[in-house]
Amino acid sequence: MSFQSIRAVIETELFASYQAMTPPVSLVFQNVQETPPGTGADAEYVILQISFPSTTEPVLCLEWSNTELIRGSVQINCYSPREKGMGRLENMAAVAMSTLNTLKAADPTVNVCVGEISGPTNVSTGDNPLAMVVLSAPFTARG
Amino acid sequence: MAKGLDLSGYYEKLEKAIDQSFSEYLQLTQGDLFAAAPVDTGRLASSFYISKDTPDLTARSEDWTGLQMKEYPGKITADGKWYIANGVKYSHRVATDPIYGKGGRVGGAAWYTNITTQLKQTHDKRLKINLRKIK
Repeated sequence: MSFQSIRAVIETELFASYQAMTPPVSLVFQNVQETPPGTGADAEYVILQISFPSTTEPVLCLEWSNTELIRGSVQINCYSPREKGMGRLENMAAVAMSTLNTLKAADPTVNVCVGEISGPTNVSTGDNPLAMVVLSAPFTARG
Repeated sequence: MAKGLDLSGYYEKLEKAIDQSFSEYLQLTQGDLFAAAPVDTGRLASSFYISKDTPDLTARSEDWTGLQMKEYPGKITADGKWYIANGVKYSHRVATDPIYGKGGRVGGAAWYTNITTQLKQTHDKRLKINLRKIK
């Protein structure tokens, strides 16, 4: 079991998908860069958050202990300039959604199986010069 | 020769276990949100309220400082519509935007997503634990 192999599948596939967009979109990985690329009003980027809220499951049978099951959570935040319409943001969200849905096939040994995807939810409150949509989903994996 | 199966009181125990599971699920989720939310003054973390039928979108006063979870005053049972809501106006941004939510005390910037994507598992775990107690 390796959290790194799970993270690698998700990050690699999403990075490739965002690089394939026209123009390519920067993907910000966790604990790599504190400041997102471009902080001006014309910046455009995606922040990826992966976490592992639980790794075991209780079982109903009294004689058994836990069983290993890695459950994760993925959150993708897409940022694009305000007042320029939702098209670009929704395209970025669609790339995230379609990529998440192909993760299982991307590496069957790791078997990242994404559950119900929430979003894209538009968050427009606050004083950030960029508009944002967010998608999130649970997943299970073998690692 | 006969083998008996006594089901007297079984459905009452089952109903009680389901109520207990749901109550634990709601309260633990509220506790998780309270414990994970970023803290500046503590107003956001302290403003997660449980309510029935309609979301309680009130919040601690703007000059609030401190950390105090508000417990639901009544009995929580597995019926009707239940909500955990937060009426602080910037709560959605802090919950979903890692730039604003990076101070999350549990789960870092993804503190809210960590909890909400696992709600079904949280509920299932409480249900399994309480069903195991039925003798």
